[in-house]
Amino acid sequence: MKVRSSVFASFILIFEVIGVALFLRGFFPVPVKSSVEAKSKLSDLPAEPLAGSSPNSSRLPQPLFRKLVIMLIDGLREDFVFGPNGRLYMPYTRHLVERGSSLSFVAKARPPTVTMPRIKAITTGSIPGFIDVIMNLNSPALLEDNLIWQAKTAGKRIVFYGDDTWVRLFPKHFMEYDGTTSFFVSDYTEVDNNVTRHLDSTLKRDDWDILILHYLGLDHIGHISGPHSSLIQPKLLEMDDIMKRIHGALVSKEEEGSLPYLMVLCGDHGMSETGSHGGSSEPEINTPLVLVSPAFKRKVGMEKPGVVEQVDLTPTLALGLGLPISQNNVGHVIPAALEETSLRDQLRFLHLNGHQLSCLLKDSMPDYQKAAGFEQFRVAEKAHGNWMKLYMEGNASEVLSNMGKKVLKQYLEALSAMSAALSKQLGKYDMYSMIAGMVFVFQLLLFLLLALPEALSGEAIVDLPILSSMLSLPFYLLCLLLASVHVLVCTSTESSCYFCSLSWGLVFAAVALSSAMFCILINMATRRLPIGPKIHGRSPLRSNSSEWTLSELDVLLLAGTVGHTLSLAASSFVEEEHQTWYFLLNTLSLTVFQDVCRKYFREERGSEDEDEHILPSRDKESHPFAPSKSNIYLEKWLALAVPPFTLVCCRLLRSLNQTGVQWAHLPDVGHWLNSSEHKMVLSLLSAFCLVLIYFLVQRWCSWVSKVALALGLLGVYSYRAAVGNVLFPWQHTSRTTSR
Amino acid sequence: MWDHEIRAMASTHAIIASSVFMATVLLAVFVPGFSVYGMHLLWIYAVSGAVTAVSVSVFWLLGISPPTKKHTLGYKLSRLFRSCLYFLLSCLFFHTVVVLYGAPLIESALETFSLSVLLTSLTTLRCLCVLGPHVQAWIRVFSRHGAMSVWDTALQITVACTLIGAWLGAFPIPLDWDRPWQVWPVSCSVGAMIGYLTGLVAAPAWIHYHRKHLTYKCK
Repeated sequence: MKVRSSVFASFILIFEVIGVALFLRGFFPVPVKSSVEAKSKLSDLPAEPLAGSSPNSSRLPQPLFRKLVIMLIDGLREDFVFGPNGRLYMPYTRHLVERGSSLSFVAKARPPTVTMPRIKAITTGSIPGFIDVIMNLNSPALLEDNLIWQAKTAGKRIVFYGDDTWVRLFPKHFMEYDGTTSFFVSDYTEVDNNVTRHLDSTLKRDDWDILILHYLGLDHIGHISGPHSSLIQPKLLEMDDIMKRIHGALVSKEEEGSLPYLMVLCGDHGMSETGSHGGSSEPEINTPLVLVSPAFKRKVGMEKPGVVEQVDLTPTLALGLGLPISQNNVGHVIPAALEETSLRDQLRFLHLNGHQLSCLLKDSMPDYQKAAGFEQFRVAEKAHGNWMKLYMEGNASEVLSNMGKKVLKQYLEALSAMSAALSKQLGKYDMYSMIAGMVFVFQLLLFLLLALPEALSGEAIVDLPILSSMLSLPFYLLCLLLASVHVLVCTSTESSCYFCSLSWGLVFAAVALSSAMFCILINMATRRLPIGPKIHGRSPLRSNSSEWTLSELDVLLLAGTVGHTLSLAASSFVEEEHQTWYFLLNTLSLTVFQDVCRKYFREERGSEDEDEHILPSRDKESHPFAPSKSNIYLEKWLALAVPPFTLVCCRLLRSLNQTGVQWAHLPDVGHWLNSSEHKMVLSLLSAFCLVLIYFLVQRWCSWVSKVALALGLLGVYSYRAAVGNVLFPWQHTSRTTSR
Repeated sequence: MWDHEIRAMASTHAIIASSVFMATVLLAVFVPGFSVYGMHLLWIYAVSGAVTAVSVSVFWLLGISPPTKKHTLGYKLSRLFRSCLYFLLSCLFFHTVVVLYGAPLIESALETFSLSVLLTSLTTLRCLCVLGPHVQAWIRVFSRHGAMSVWDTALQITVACTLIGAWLGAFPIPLDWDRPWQVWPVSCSVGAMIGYLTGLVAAPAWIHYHRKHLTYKCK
């Protein structure tokens, strides 16, 4: 059957899109949420369990805190506060951690460690997937149930200053706000001053309940010059000073008899050794979490901070403020924060958290009964009821408190089990759909490859052997085979699978299409490729005329491309992918060099006497009658010199900056140049490079752009000199003479 | 067509391969605590020495190097001197190439140089034995359709196999498997050795299989 090229192309395009969509549906796990719009309400909360009689009150325990200040510092790494340098960086905070009434934890952020998913995680308690990274730049309003919405609904007045992502996520939630944009990454001063300028007036007033500050400067410094830069310490000292001011204001406002304040210092994500973030390495996911409140026990010395999940903050804050926990929360409350309340309240808090988690588990898992923790929670709930009964009867013995502690322990175990089960559910891929999508896409790709010469020829018509394939036996056998595989897979897997949940008609169409494509592919392949012994018959003459000869370069390029693609399947190779590139590039240069050598040294002989082979002892000789001998010589030596020059340049570039995982820590030329005693060399080198850029580029420019280019390059140098990376030529001398 | 040569080649290659094994076995017997990874440089030099000695003597006995017109002592001496010079130059050349491929420049220079000595004794030495110290002849042999005898074809195959073996041997070095053979230059030299042995086996076999199609311009 003959098909027009355009029809063929649109057919391929449509199915390609379907295949990719199927793959993506499997790759991005189904979000764990009951529904987007639903919010948990105070009235829906479960009653306090009580064995025997009907449940008594469904009241929430008293909130623990009256005022809440969240100070979120973007890119705050755990060791900036708790590490050995913490005393230098943040002395006041460190003092609070060691001696004040505070709780400190290392909060583990889940990858992707990017600001917006982290904000979503802190406010909703769920774990946003990688798809949220795409939305990071253009964040629409957050519709899910979240802490801010709950607080606003409960009548809390919220003030926000900082990153305008919050303002976009929570429009109309804040009583007062001032967003700063994170667009100018090289600005690390103004972006924080814009937050701090409101601080004094806000702290003086008493008309707010929740104050959220989001400082971006530290993250910007990380992006500019990494976590070991000299800019880090002044920035952290500034943050520490703000911490001190807030704490001082809160302490002075505290009244006897009213509820205490809570101050939270946290980071949304960490910072890798190079200052970036987004991945899942230890320094990126470990952030400090410091809770300061007079409600906590006063510390006596530095303890090793415990490890919690970042999302654990959400239920803790919600319960502390007396709000319902947001519906999609997967974190569990931090037990240390509740320790100072009565046992009854503690159990009630844990019960509320457990109830919310079990509801979420019910919604997101078809076989939630089997999930670890669910049954544990049921048992704990029952024990809680029994304990309540004894408690209501006025029993106040040792036995009761021991029993209560046991219930508490059961609750905690159940909570962490359920939380883990939910987190695991979030990170699961739908392998079958992914494989099906991939097979689809690959088939189409091969199709395209095979049909390309025909489709692009003058007639623009592709001849598809559809009928002969559809009527062949392999087609039906393949259909049967694929259908049986589908049934087998769908009946045996436990987890939900998108491809299995499709209707039978659709699945059968897909199976038929896939097998038809397979048959057509085989058909076309046998027609196109004359596979046979012809290629191997290799007399020099015939192999020259045949179109299937490949030079060494072609073979190398093909093998390199295929090999590189295959190597990406192994994570060890991906980690050191640059090494593969270096290696293949070197090999390519060497092969080109060998090719050039061969060409020039052989041609000399070939042009003179074709038949006479060279005598081994003959010396190299020049052309007797060359019209422009020097020109040919120049060209020859240029051609000979370029590949080795490329090789040397590659080697130099390679040792300029060590990357990858294994050898990134080794000293390299970049370290040597950046150290302060070699500033002169660095200045000369960068000046030379900038001049070189100018001379290489200016040839094709008009004089206006030449001037612009020169000014631009001068600007680059001046900027670097102003920052302190390089020196001006007069700087060194002027310093010695004037001072 | 080339039965005699093929038989001679197969036996030559068998002798050379057995010399490699002998060198390793002797080391294992006489040096206490010997292992290919642990005492790698020793192994490299032993194997290079064995291959050098055996190849030179075998090819000299076979007498396949190009006929020389002059038989004076001075000419022979100058040939010997040039051969040694080429050997050394080839070591330096391999060293440069390996450094360009990313071997450390200063730190493990001895290891790198040992690898280049091994590569030289596996490749250049054979060129010297078969073709003599004539660069033009080498270039001819390694051009397309440049082989003029079965020995030239065998030379092409063994050299290509050795270099490809060393090339492939470099791939596991940057990976995070933490094996003893990932240390520089163990995997490369072992890869080169395995490639060389494969070449020794493959060359006579390939020529035997293709003997009907092999045509040389002149012999």
